[in-house]
Amino acid sequence: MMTPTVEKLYVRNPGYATANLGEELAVLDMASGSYFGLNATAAELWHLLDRPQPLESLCRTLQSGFEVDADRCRVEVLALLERLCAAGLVCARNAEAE
Amino acid sequence: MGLSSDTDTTSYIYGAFGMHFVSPAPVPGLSPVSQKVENSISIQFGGVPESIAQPEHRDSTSQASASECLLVIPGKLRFYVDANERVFVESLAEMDPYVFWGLVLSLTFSVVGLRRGFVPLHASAVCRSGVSVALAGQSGAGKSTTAATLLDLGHEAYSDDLCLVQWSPGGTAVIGAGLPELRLWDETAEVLGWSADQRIGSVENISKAIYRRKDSSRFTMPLTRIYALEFSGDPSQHGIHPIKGFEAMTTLMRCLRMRPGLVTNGLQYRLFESLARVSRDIEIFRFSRPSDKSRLQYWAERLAQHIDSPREAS
Repeated sequence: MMTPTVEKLYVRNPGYATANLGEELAVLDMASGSYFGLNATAAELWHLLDRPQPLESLCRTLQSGFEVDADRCRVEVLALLERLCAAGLVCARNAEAE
Repeated sequence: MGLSSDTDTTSYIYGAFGMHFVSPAPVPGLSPVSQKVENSISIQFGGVPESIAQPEHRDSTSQASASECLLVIPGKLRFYVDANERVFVESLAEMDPYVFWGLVLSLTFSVVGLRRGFVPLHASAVCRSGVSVALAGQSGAGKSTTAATLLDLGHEAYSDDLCLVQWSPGGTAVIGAGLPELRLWDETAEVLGWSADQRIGSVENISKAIYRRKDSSRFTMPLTRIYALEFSGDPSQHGIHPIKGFEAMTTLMRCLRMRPGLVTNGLQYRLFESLARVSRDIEIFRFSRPSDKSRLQYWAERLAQHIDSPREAS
């Protein structure tokens, strides 16, 4: 029997400050003092993550702003989200828990 | 010229690095100003506590909290800044007065400047035609040497080893005139043909001497460019390369004249915002060149030409 897939929702973690640097965004981890740099795409994604959103919704919004096909967009956004999660800037939680 | 206080103790008011301070003793090389200035930093001798209450950071030579900072320079001095930005200093040894005051003032302006939202850069600066450029880098990057080579090419020394980047009421990034001196390695001074007669002091235990420069007539000056200096053995890296955005911001981070532990939680965000602002407002370049001193003149001329080049369209 197949286990139903639980949709993940991505959202920014609290405790970070940002500063605009032209197209890029600098992010400060207020607890550790570490700095992160986000390029234009990652900065756009960061802005969208101010509320919990599933991958599909994020991709739909980003596709409208960047010329990229759906499959490639999905792969790249997922990879970016994984990197942001690994760095602690973003967390993923199950939609059921919402 | 002194100023009498309520307790009839003479004190001296000076301007340096874009701020004013009140000293209990004359500071060699600086000319006092004649009247009290608002927001002056008070420097006092003695009264340095053994420790501070509830430090956020503590190591063998420093302690810092949101409101206080205590530093020990082993064998030289103990230094403390309280919550009201009053500075207390205790000397631990006899020192050349130029070395002593250079140390006290660079610590004072770095710590208090950071608390006021300014950016203390480990940098020397030169000026010409009413604007300045900063030559930033870690110890040994050639800041003073590069500044010295530019003096022969029509620039004036404006600050050595510390530039405190702040903003004018109109929002322009500015730095203040530093102490009117330049500290050069003896080997470099010899290559540049600087006479030993110009020396006013020497730095203990290293072959570095202090040379007197003329006082700047400008208390502060717009800062238009920052050159981050580095030596490289790879000729393909040599040159002057623009850096922007996050790369510029992290480059400036590495050029801060501040121990990381002293940037306590309360100061983190202020420094982050200030660094971002400097990265946006000022043109920043990486200046990479070989360490070969026989090429000093060539690279000084390259840099001088670059300083004169117009601002790049953003």
